[in-house]
Amino acid sequence: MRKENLFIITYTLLMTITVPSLAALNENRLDVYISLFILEYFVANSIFRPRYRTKHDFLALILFTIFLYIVANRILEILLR
Amino acid sequence: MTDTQLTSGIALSIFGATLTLFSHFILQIVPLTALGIAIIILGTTIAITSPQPIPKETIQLLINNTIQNIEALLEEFTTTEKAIYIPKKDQTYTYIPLNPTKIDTNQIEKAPNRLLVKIGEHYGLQLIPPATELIKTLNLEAAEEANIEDTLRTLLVDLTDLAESVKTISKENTIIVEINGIKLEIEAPKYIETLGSLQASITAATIATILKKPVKILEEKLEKNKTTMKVQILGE
Repeated sequence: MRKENLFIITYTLLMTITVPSLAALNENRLDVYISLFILEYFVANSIFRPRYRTKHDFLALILFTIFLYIVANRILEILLR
Repeated sequence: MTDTQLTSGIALSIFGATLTLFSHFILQIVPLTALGIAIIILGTTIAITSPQPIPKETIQLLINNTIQNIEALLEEFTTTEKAIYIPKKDQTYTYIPLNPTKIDTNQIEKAPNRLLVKIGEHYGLQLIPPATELIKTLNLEAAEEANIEDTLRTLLVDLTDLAESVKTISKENTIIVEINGIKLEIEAPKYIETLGSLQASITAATIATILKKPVKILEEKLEKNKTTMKVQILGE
């Protein structure tokens, strides 16, 4: 099977497991869900290394920026407490 | 296939966005909002992931056809030495010396892009190895740093399905490549003798393109479903 297909299947599976698992744990913070999706994206990406239509993986850049924002927000929250 | 993948990716992203907005502002259910976001990311991933427009079997047949043409051409000449894979500005060529002599690779690089070339007092054949166009699609010339093993895996396993796995070991100016699970064996003795097996010639052409240096297959050991080759990097 092509690594691009494996990447999509794995990523779909990871996200399908994440949502009900966190929901079952009564997790109501949206940033926790998003952070996990981003981490899963980078893990799957580094394992399968799929090729993209575009020269650069711009989605990774967007997701990383969002992840940095979430982390910075959490740090600020702790510091300002 | 290309458009279907792009369309389904975009459709999935739009659905995800609708679900996110609806569940966040109206239903106010966090897991459902998260599911919507997950669908957006997945849709975008599907849309941007590279599709495979040509079936692998078709690629194999086209490559085999090219080899048969080269084989027919080689049968007309007496070749004594192994081919040298020369990366040039536009693409990688293979130079087959027709005289058993040591030739400066720089001179071959400067030689015109003709079938029969004369370098000094020596003649040689200059051919375009198979899968060169496929290598070009990977845009290796533009890449600042490309991993040889990853690129070979993409070419031989993912794109052409010519093998199951590729391993490389770099040692000074030689690279040892082991290709397992060979799926297509060619019947072209002259070709194998001068350019190496199909997988070996694609490997050598790819290495030459990545390193931007001439390379030569020093030796190749063909076993059942497996080939191990030693590729020598020529030039500084």
